[in-house]
This record gives sequence, C-alpha cells and structure tokens, in this order.
Amino acid sequence: MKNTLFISSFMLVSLLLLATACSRDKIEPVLPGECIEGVEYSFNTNIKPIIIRTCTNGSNCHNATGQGDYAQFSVLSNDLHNDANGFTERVFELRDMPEPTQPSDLQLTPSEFDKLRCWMEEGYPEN
Amino acid sequence: MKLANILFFIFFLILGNVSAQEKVHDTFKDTRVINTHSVETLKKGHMDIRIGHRFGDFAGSAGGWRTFYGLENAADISIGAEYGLSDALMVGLHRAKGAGPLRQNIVGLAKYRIMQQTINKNGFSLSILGMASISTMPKSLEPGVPHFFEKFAHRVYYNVSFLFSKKFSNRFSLQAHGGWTYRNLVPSTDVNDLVSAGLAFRLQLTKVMGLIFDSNFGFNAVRPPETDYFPAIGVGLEWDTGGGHVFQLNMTNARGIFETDYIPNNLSNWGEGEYRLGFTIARQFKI
Repeated sequence: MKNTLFISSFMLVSLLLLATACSRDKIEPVLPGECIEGVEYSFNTNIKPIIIRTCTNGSNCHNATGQGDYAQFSVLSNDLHNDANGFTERVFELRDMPEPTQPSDLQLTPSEFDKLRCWMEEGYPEN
Repeated sequence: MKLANILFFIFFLILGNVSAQEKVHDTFKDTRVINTHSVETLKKGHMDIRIGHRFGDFAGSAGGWRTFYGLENAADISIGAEYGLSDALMVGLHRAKGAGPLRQNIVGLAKYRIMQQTINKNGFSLSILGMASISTMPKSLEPGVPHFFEKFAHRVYYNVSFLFSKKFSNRFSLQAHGGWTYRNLVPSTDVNDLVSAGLAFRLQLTKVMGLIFDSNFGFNAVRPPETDYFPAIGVGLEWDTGGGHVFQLNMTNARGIFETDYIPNNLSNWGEGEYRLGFTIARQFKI
C-alpha cells in the first residue's frame, strides 16, 4: 500500500513536470552595444567588479595564487599592453574566457562584455 | 488484429520462458559503471545512499602541481539516495553541483529493468532509464545567458537511455547503451535534441576488485570532432567491500556526474590533460 502510494505520487509528479516543463527554445544572441561617445569606463569603477566576479574570486584562476592577479590594475594593464595571456583574443574573438566550463553565473553578461570592450577601446584607463 | 494477436502470443511466450529460466545476476556490481548507468536496478526495499566526487583537471593548464593534480578543485559533487520499489523498478533523487552552464541541480531518476538475462534463453538484459535535472541557480538579470530563465522549463534537462548488457562470464560483462538528451534552451548554434551512444564493460580482476570502463559519444551536427565537445570516456577500479558497499575510483574526462550534464556539456579533452580523478561511494541499506 505504502509502495503503491509512493509510485503513484512519483508518477504524478513526473507527469506534471513533463507536461509543464517542455519547450524548444534557443538563446537569442544579444547584439553588441555601441560604445557611446562621452560615456567613459574606468577600471576602478566599472571593470574591477566584473574582473573580480568572473576572473579572480569566482573562477579562482587569475588571482594572487593563480595566473596573475587581474584585480590589480598594474597586472592586468601590463598583460593588455604586452598582449600576454591572449586576453584580447580569448575574451573578444574566441569567446572562451571565462572558460565555457565555468557556470553561467561566472560568465560575462552581454552588458559586461560591452563595458569591457568599450573600456579597451578607450585605452583601458584606471580611473 | 492478426498482428496484435501474434505480438501478444510472442510476449506471453517470452514472459513464460523468462519466469521459467534461471536469471543471471550481478552483470555489474553497481547501478553505475562509472558515470553511465548500468543495467542493474536495486532490489525491492533497498536504499542506496550515493556520494560522487569528480576533482579538477589532473593535467593541462588547470592541473598539475598548482592545483595538486586537480585535487584542490571540484568539477562536480553529488549526494543522493535511490530506492528499489520492486526488483525491477528503482527511483532516485540527488543534488549535484553541476558542471555545465546550469548548476545547483536537483536530479530525479527512474530506472526499469525490462528484461533480465537468463542462463539458456535471454541472451541479454535490458533496462530503460529516465532522468530530469532541474537547476536551482539564481536567475540572471540580463538576457542572452543560459540562466536568464525566462521560463521554468529553461531550468530543466532530460535524458532517456536504453541499456543493453550481457554477462559473458563471471569475469566479464559488456554493455551497449544509447540515449536521447533534451535541453529546453540551448545557445543559438546548438540543437535541443542530442542522441548519444556508447559502450561500457566490467572485468573482474580479483575476488573483490574489478576494472570498469564507460564511454558516451554524442551524435549530431554540432558535435563533430573538430568542435570543442568531446566524448566522455572513463576508466576505473571498483571494489565490492561487502555488505552492500561499493567503492569506485575513476579517471574520466567527464566533468559532470549525471547524463544530463556530461553528455551535452563535455568540453574536456583527454588529449589536453583535462581528465580527473573521481570516486563514488555507494552504501545500500535494507529498509
């Protein structure tokens, strides 16, 4: 009796889940935004929080014990200046950094991607 | 009508023969080979508490000494329980960290043994597995990412697998499996349906230890070898320590533990050192 009740509840929950949780959707790519003239981004105000979430603390890779601490402007700007670690290529062209194996919430959102791109175009200012 | 009668006749003939034949047991020691489900189901009234852990990359850019060969990272961790409702039907509920774009997953599964190998008649065993994974990760405030979760359905992945296996001798068992994984939301360059297939085996090395192997290959237009997706291939050792306790130590390039994770999302390549140590502890209780 106990088993029958359990099986019935399980089947009912499964059927409800199947009936309510089916769709066939694609993620619509968000087109890159324009870098607006006059809107300036700085490392300390706009970029550092993104770097901390996606590169240093979240992924635990580009921090003080890892592959160069990108939360420090001097380290990141030096790598950008020397095109070390393939930052530009991997973030903007290959789009494989942050690594795709990282969860969604450690990836760059479209607006963060735009901020980074515009900041780079402005010559990556610190302040 | 005539065809239906013939089918019924064949069905009852098979059923009659099965019940009359001596069943072949313990094709595999556990309900999993490594990550892949084996054809085995739990016995009625048995509860299996399972803890799985897959460490970070052993070698490659994320492995080596810096992460102590991956042991300081965790690719996936799962904890859960499974229960045998009958000798042929089992259900399970797990929480998994997750290794793909969706994390913090609740995984529910049911496995039914359709046919069991017998000594003289049935040449193989057949089970069907159904699984649903629901991500409980927080919703993104911005669109264009997998965890924007416009609908509840976008949190859910499904897998259905058919498992065929044959125990050739007391030392060697082989399994062929095929499955269909469905994701409600995928990147615009991917497809929602993914068909996969693979092979697994178990070779008894000593009285208590066996060599295990499993593999899963995804088949569709976006999974050719030149893409970043790789087949999940694992090899390991399994100890039956007695009293319903199985311990597995494995090395696999799959980051995720469940079918809904490692089949569609496996970006790790054996050739680049992106394989990892892992273990699974399974303990059965009769309740």
